[in-house]
Amino acid sequence: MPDTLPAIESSLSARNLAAGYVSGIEILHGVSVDAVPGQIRCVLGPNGTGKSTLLKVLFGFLKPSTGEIRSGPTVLTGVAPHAMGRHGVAYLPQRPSIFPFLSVEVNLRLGAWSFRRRHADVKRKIERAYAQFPILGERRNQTAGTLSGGQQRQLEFARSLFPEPKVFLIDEPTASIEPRITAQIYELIRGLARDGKAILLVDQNIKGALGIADYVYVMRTGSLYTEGPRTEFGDDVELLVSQWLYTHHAAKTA
Amino acid sequence: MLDYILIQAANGLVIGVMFALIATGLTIIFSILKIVNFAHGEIYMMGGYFGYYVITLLGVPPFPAVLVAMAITFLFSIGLERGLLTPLYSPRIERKADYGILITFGLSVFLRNIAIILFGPFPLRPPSFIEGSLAVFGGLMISYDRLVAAGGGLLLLVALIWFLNRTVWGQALNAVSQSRESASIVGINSERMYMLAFGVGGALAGGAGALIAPIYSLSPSMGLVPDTQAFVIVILGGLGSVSGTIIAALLLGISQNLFIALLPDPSRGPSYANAFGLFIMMLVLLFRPTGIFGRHAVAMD
Ligand SMILES: Nc1ncnc2c1ncn2[C@@H]1O[C@H](COP(=O)(O)OP(=O)(O)O)[C@@H](O)[C@H]1O
Ligand SMILES: [Mg+2]
Repeated sequence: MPDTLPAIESSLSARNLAAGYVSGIEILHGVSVDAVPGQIRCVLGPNGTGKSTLLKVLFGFLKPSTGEIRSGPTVLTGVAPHAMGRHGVAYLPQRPSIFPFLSVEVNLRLGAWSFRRRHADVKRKIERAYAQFPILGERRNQTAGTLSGGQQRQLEFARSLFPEPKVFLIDEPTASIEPRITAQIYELIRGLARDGKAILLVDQNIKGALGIADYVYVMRTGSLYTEGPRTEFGDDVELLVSQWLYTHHAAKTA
Repeated sequence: MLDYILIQAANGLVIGVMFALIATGLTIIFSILKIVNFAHGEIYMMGGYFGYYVITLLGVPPFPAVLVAMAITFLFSIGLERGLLTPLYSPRIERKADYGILITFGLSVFLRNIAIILFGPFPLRPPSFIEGSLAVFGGLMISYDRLVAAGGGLLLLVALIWFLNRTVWGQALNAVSQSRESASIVGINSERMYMLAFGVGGALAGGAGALIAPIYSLSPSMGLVPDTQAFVIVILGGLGSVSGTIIAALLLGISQNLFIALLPDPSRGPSYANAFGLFIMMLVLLFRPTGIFGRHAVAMD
């Protein structure tokens, strides 16, 4: 087990994470991942494998029973979710984390919670969000729950940018949303990486994710099955999928 | 007869405003902490006594005494929340709802008895806000104290609605009530919001106690009846909706007083009042299980 930092400087690194929801039932069995500035790293794998669980552990919603999470020299294991923003980590969970009964504008305002007293800053960022996502400006007084799935994602993305995080943990951003917005969201994620952000992206949309990934982790039943730069996986998505399905099947019948 | 009904409706409005103060506090606590606070009526009682002693011992005039009583109740409630409710937020406690019921129920009995020891079992009455009565509806009188209680209570409700909707702390409370997870994603520390909710809820009840004291006097058991009524109102208002709670409180206060007024023997009124509220609740729940103004989609985890 490597105790030193990896060769490339990572913004968030996790080593040997084991975790579960109830005692005695372990979901993650020692997973190590890195989020690296300027890179999009995808976590792929069949449903129910523990991809979302991994992100929840990284953001502090679940305490790992073993393993360590760090950001440079800072140990983040055990840091509460509400404090993760201060360490430069943003989380976009599988179900959009908007406040459905509050207006779009108040949702954005709450995204600025960590610097709420800097009123000019708050205002400037909200205006910038409206410029970047005009639909949010048009619907600023509507409750967020009335937005379409894609618009909710846009709201969430706009909000998550406010504290200028270094690391984005993104869970299935394009699940069940309009295809037009899907492309937009992948482009957005790509833009974040170009700005030097470190992205850890969990996705069921293998084609879409591989289209923008720099590095791929493949998970299977709570462990990393394989990992490597995207180029190593080639463009044969079908092969990749059949690989997991085959080994998954083999593991079951064994 | 019409005069009599009108004056009963006015009295009902006063009671309705008091119910609204107590019940909105209960609603806020319920929607943020996800517990039913069975000691809420006793917080209301304590607020009344705080007001009384602030006036009689410290010599604060009655009007500012209401605000001082609210401030004390705010801090007192936060003390209770820190001391008794923090285990609710620990993952080690599994049956959180049961814990909440037991601890707040125990607290209500405790506070009622400590009040008997500290304040005595006999009713205490603080000085009036304004002596005298206003003649209305040809000969019938409504006391200035009732007008002050209703007016002051309405002001507090308006301030509450402003706080919840227009301030970032109120919006954060709202956010936590909708999703603790999403709130922590934007960096809101839920535990601080639990403190704030319990404090604000307590302060509202305390304000009601201080406002009502010159009208009905203070006694250690004064919280029992309003507490039952507040539960009814919170359910009628649709569990977690502040505006629904306020409207339900006003409707219940007025209709209950009219019901009493129309009883053949009004002296029996008070004993039927509670039954009336509960009867209305059963009817409403039969036909509208989410309450009169229920939000269907609200997440109650
Ligand atoms: N809140 C929860 N409580 C208990 N078990 C859960 C919870 N969430 C997920 N699980 C279980 O953890 C496993 C991994 O789930 P998840 O991380 O959501 O998988 P994925 O995101 O890869 O589809 C599944 O077996 C799932 O049933
Ligand atoms: Mg998932």
